[in-house]
Amino acid sequence: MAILVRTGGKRRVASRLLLALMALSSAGCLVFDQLGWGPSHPTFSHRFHVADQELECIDCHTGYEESDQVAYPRLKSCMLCHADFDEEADPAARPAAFYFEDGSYRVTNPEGLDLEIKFSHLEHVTDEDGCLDCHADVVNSREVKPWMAVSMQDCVDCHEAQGEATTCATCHNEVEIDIAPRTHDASWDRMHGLAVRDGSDRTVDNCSICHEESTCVSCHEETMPQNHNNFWRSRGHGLTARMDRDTCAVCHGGPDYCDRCHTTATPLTHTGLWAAPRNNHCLGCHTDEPQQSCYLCHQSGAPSHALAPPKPVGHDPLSDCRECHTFISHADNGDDCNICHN
Amino acid sequence: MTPARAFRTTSVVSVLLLLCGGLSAAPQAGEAAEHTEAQEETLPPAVTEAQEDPIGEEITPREESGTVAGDAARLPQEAQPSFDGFVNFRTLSRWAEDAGDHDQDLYGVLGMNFSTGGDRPWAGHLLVQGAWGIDSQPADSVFYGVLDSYDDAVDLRLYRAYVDVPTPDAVALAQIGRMAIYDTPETAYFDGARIETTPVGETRFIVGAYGGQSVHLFEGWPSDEWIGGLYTRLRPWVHGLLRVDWMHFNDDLRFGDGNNDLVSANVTHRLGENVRLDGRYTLLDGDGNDMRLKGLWLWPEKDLTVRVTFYRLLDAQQNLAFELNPFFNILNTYYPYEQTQVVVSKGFGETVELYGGWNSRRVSNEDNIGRYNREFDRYYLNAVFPDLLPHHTTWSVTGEVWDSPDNDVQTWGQDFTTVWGDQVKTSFGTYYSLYKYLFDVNDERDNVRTYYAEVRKKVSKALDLKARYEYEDESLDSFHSIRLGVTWRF
Repeated sequence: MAILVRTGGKRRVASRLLLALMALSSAGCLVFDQLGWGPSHPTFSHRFHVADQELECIDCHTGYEESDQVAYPRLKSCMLCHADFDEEADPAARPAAFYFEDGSYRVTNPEGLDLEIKFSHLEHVTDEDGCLDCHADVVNSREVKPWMAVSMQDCVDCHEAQGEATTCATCHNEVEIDIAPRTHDASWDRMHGLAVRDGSDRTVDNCSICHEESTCVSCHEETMPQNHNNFWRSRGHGLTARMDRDTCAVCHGGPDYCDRCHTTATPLTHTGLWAAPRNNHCLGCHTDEPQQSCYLCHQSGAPSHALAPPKPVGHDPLSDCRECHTFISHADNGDDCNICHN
Repeated sequence: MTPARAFRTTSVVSVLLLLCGGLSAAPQAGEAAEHTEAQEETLPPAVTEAQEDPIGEEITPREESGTVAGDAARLPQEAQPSFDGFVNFRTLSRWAEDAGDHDQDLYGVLGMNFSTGGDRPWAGHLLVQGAWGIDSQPADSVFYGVLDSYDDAVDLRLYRAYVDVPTPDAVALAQIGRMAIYDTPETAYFDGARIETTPVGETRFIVGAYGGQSVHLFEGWPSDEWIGGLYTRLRPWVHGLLRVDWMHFNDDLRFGDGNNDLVSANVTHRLGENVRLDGRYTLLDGDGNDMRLKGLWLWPEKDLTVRVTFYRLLDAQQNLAFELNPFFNILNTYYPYEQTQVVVSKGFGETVELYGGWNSRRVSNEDNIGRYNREFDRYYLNAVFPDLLPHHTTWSVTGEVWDSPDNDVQTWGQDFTTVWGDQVKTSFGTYYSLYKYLFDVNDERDNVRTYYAEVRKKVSKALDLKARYEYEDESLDSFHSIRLGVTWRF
């Protein structure tokens, strides 16, 4: 019988601690980076201007009510205060000078949105306080971070709450069922499984927007993993399944799939010395675990074991036979008495 | 764990984690503490069409998109009638050089979806497969498969057949028929009905219920086994999601009661747009069953994704309903263990995409380590070079190692896929696996080398053709297989 040996218990604990420490520290860095905590270059602080100096959104972001376009601040709005503040400052360090070039606000994209997106501030902002409905994260920030941008999920959630349309064409100019998202690149064949199992509730991660369930099932029926070859079917799958049975369940979710084949296909172990007189089948299967797997095929009971006498009257089937029968000359040492002596 | 194995494990994970931490910190380290010329260089030039003082002037970039304010909110609500689907036929021919065995199979898959359209449409979904074993295989054939275990050469399987029923406003979903539900703690696959309410209130509270006869495709139909459940989902705080499930299973087991109750609580929270944390805890028949923690970090601007998962099985699983422990009859008791997984994917522009991971399992009690309850470390790395080679050829390389006491598996492979215009895609590659394991009382070593070539042709928007040849050379024999397929979408 194979004996699996583990060594180095203390080393294992030390390795785990080291890995956990590194994972936690890296996770902390990642989270802090997302939250904007940490060293940063000088940026515009909405917290200072809005919370401390009690400015209103519309004091700087004027014009939103006149246009579909996002109302970036204008130089002359800033100069109402900064004309005095910046007068004595180093020209290179003047905030107004830094954020504007030739009088225009320096940004990558005036809208902050892909040009493929349809959006109208006129349709969405009805009063001066309406800004906070979407941009609440910005108000108390010392730096506008990318994660503060209004996400597609935020838009969808609000549209649903307001009873507005949530179809793709509501906001997108160019959505077509046969135009794949950017995520569907060369490695998507391998990566999409992870994305699906993430279980994300974001609309952008919703596969059913474009794909029917039949798409998944039909492709997985036809396209198997690369390692599912003839060797896999005869021996390889067992070697992997006994290490990680959960991976098999991803595709072979039908619980009876394995049983069906194993009840009719002869296991590779059942050759040579398997039966009498060497009876390797005892050594090969009997471990400290209940022996249900034999019954998968030998449903009427193991042939030779059918000769085993039943237990005497009064013997509780739930009792441990070894409490009285201290020496049991049997390969399983009394773990499975009930299977035969019943 | 041996010292070498510990060092290898620690090194690999350290590299992965340092890569994540370094990449996240790099922008901050690279940016000056004071705004300098470097700072200004990172800022793009001002919009060339921007006005010096845009008061009263319209900004032109939006005009290019052709947006008309208000149109977005006035799109029609009613759905149009629709009918679509696909039909796929494929053949599989195989033969073994030394054993002389051969096999011919024919498969057909039909998928259909329809909707009556209108404000409250009826919709239906069908997915069915037929298989014909042209020459059925005896049990000792190298090509013996699960479909050969049936007496009939033709096998028909109904995978999905359900209808979406029109519902009142308070009900979001009502389905009847054969369906599968994947967002429950265990996949619920049954012939029955499902209903779900419309989200209500600021918390978007919903309640759902489902139930019916369990579908066990290889166990025979009909049966008296059934499955049912209730669930609720709500958003108790901003960017948070809470889901509670109860599932009941009734299974006709050879040993054991066959009735099990599973209760699950799942909490999800999004930190901003790109960080997602998830935790789940389940109870099985009143006792702690398992727990799972997941973290997902996305950096779209860096094309980087990191996934970390920790799972722990708290209690041994023996005779349970099939859905809960589908491998008990083969692999016996499933003892408690914990498993950690880290997966990282990173793209470097259009040049290369890397995807790798580490997966580690440890049995909670050393005494439970056995033939079917093993510890292992798994490492894998996949590199894809989209346009490294001429003629729009993508080259991908894969490596995978399973490291377990008395059971090692190594796999290496590479693939070259070329796109010829809009219609033809060709692939060829090779795949090598080495299995080292303890078989009964002896050490075994098997290597398998596979070579393949594949052609896909898109004849039209609706019609695809596919042909694949594969040669497999392993320790005991060599095999050839040819697959031909045609798919028509309507």
